[in-house]
Amino acid sequence: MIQINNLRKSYLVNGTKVEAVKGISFNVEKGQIFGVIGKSGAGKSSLLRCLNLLEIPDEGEILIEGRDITKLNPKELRNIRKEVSMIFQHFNLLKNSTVFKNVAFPLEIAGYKKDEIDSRVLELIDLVGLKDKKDEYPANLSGGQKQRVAIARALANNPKILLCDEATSALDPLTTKQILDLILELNRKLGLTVVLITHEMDVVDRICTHVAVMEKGEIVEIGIKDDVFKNPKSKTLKQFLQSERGSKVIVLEKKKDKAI
Amino acid sequence: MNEIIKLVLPSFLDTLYMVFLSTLFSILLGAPLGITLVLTEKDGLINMPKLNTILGTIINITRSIPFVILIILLFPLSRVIVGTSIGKEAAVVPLSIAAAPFVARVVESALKEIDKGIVEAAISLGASTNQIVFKVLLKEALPGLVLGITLTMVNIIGYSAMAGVIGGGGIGDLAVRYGYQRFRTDILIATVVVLVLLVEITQRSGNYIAKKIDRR
Repeated sequence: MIQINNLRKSYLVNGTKVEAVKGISFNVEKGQIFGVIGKSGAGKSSLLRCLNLLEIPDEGEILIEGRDITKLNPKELRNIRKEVSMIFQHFNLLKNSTVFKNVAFPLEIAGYKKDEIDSRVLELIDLVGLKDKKDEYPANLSGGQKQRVAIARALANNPKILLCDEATSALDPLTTKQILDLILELNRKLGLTVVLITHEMDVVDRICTHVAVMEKGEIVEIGIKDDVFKNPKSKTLKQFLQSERGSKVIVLEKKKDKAI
Repeated sequence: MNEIIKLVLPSFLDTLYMVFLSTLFSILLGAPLGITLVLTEKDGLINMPKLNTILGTIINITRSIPFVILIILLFPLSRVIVGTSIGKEAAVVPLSIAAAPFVARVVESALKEIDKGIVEAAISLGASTNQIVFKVLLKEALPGLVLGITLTMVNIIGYSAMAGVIGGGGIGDLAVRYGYQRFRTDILIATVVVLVLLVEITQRSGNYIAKKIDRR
């Protein structure tokens, strides 16, 4: 589904070149939920943003269903972006548009007729469980509801791939769980391939089938999630697993305190 | 009193004529310029920093010419476009041109207020640059644009009075001919009152509309 070969991306920061992604290669197969985990600054966001060319890589190939998207002309690129959707940490909804209009946006720019748009939008809003909110503006929604709108909007053009850029990092734990359940449901129902980046172990643990661990622009561990988590090799993953266990222990102890 | 109304009313209508037309034309000239400024800046949607610098410089130069001098400079242009350099029609030309760079900056700053993430989301959904300008930038920035246009109108009201002084017609013209040359203090005061009210009403309506359409 997605093949990434020797991907490199660097930025100029105050005149000096900083390499964010250092020659990464990996594949994502159809139907996988592929998680990339790493600390802030590990390069995971740059990596993800290369997959729909929000960032233009310096070097390397990105093949989506066999087509190298780095070699497309602007029009072809716009079309491929309709197949590779994205959701964001801060939702990025149109603030002066209602829920309905936000979800209709990708359909309007794709040139669908009004009645087609109307029925598709209602279907999508229903799918993410926001039927009664269709005429609300984003300012009146909770974080979880905003992300649901963003998901509905991302799904409007029937994408094959959904990219999630820290999609639950601005949400509380309960809402995070609900959004993850929704993504999982969409993955199963629609066969949607998901690539997500996060610094929350819990997210990967809950829904990912596969995982890659990033450190300083490189992938240091990759594979089926259960295998990788059972036998962590990298410093990052060991630390993450430890702190997660740590937090679970704390929760248990707190519960015990209350019980006493 | 009757006489004052008889004198002030036609001048007031002339001023309205100048202000509305000049605002309209300055938007038509300035808004595309402002949008171009936003698109061509470094890392903008059409990355052309050189063009951006050139446009920016032209705008700054135009804005630094005092309005009275700009009118004199533009007399020939008025003659070409409306056939005369005297009267309310003639004043619309320099007023529009003087306000256009102001509109460009107002539009520029209103569009820059928009969260880059929203533009990014639109790109990720396959939007073209045109679609981003019309369906995202202008739409999201509408409240800011309304306030900016209001500010432009208030400026043009002031400028139009100045244009009146050198033969542009309207309230400024009346103030000079009666208030100054004929020592009619009552007319002078009446013109000031009319201008103050006009500015007040414009600003209040602008604020009201901007607030009404802002859902952020």
